[in-house]
Amino acid sequence: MSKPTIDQALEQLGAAIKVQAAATIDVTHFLQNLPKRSLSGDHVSGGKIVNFSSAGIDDKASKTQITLTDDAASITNLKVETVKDNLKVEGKVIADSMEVAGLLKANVLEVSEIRADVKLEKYSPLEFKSTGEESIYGKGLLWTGTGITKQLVIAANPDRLFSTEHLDIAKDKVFSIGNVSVLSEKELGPSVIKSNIRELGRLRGLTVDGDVQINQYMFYSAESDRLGLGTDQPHAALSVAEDAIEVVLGTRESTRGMVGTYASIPFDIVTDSRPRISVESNGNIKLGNIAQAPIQVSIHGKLAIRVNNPDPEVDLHVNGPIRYHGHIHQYADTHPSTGEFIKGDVVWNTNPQVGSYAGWICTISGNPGRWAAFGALVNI
Amino acid sequence: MSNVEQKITAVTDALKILLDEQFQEVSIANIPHIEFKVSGNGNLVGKGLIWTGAGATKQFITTTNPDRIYSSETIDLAKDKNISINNVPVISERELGPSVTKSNLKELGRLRGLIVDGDLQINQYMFYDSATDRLGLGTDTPNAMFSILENGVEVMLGTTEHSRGAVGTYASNDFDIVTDNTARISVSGGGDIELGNRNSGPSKVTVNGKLGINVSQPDTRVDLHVAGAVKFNDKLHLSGTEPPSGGSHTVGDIVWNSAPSTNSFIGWVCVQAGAPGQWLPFGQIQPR
Repeated sequence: MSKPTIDQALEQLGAAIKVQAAATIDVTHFLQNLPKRSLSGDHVSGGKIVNFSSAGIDDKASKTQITLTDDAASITNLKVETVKDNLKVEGKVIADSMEVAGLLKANVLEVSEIRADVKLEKYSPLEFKSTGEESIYGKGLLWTGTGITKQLVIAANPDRLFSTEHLDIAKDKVFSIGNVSVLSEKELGPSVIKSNIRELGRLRGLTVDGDVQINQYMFYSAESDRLGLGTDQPHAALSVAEDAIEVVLGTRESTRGMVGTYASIPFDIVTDSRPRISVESNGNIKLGNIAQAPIQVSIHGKLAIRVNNPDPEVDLHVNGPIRYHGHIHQYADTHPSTGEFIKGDVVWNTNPQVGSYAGWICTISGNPGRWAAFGALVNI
Repeated sequence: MSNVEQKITAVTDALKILLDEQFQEVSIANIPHIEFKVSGNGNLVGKGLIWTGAGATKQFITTTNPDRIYSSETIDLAKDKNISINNVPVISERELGPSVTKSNLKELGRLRGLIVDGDLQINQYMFYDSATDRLGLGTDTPNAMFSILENGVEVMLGTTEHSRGAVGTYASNDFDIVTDNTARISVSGGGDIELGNRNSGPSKVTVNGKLGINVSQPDTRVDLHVAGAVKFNDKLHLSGTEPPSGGSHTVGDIVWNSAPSTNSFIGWVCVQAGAPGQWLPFGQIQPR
């Protein structure tokens, strides 16, 4: 058979279209005869697909849940088991609870309470910032739930860090100010030099620069270098004031040591709690104690009485008369003419000569009494 | 940045915001502590708490050299609270802890008492040496239990020979016993003793007992026992077996015969001054 021409083919096609256009289409028959999975999505436009189901989608909704536009997919209620990869939300996420297995990163996290069983690690200071009318005072760390609230916060007037609790640091650690240790477990730092301490422990030693007062009784003046016991105005290096009597011990005239009383008060040198040498305020001296048994006074040397230049050849040099055994012995060029004398008193002749006497002796007491010469002086 | 660090950064940032912004009241429950952690080559310097926005930044942070926590502010404890080290209280409002035993304090308050075990120094003037149990005023090397060194003179008060009390000078300085600010008994550095004061009126010296002069064994029968010669009214009385053969004598001097016998004389008297002068016997002893 010969091949039809172009014109013949177009004529036959037109006749066929006319036949088809005049015929009634049986849609059911058409769909039944349409091969399965031969219809392209391009054959669908508009309308509503109900009871839609596919391998990945099961549409059981009775009303619209998802609306897709060029800008976004709008979902009325979204129930997601897993969101793979990153999720970017340009709005609020409101959740009854949220668990994040990995990193939760937020520019702003607003919470009323944080509960955590994990460590909170810090890489920078925890900063409490004053903003607007909000002050920093009272901000800091609070511990609640066990008794009163425990605080480590900033307080004002003056600005300070306030703690409601003891501060305890580890053994061998110290408190310092300006990196200078001021207090350790065992010592105050050397820079701490001033205090108002009123009780001290048992000191191992004591060094004082300056005045000293003890119990309003012992007074040491650094200016005068004098120590007073019972007086704050000592008149010697050491003064003891008791019962209004000042006993002094020190030096005199820059060359002499001395002990005694400052005012016109007698002074005793004592042994066995008994006065042994008493010096009266007027200078009279008593060796021994009249209220005690007689003592023995020994002079291991020479004794001069009212003599400015004692005779070195004698042991006892008396300027005037002497009395012993109740009798006076004195010198004169004759027997007394006045004065009370008793029998036995002797006057030694200051001008003995041959033919005169060594002296006179009182034979009858009186004024001047009766006297007799004795010791006639004769040439040998 | 590790996963953990990222977590922490997130929480830290969140906390910072919380505290910076409108959330002023925040509870942190079940957080055992806040850890400032070093990672990599980082350090802890500057980590801690800071308060900003009101004057100078207030800090309670870690620092180094040596490692320590630094506070830019005074630390104020509540009443009755204290500062302790290793749970040992070291200071409270009113007292230092008993473990604090060492200080360099130079000022104290008015002490209620003072007990010192050990040496004592006051103003480089009063020295107590606990090793010798001696107290010195003006000297740190006292030569007695108590010594005063003043004007180069050391006056001492103490004991001698373990049995005697003593007061006086240590070196060859004179020593006075004083009343009414006037020397009454003066002991020279060489040992000479002066009773009374020649610059004052004559003192009365009373011996309530017996007086021995230059006598090792005083005669208990007498009140005055003189070993050698005596002189009174400027006249010499001495003892000998004959008149002096030498020495200067004045008229009236007497030599008592130390070997008297019948028909001899009880003594001799100088009738003419000289050396030895002229002497005459007196008081011939008659046989009984």
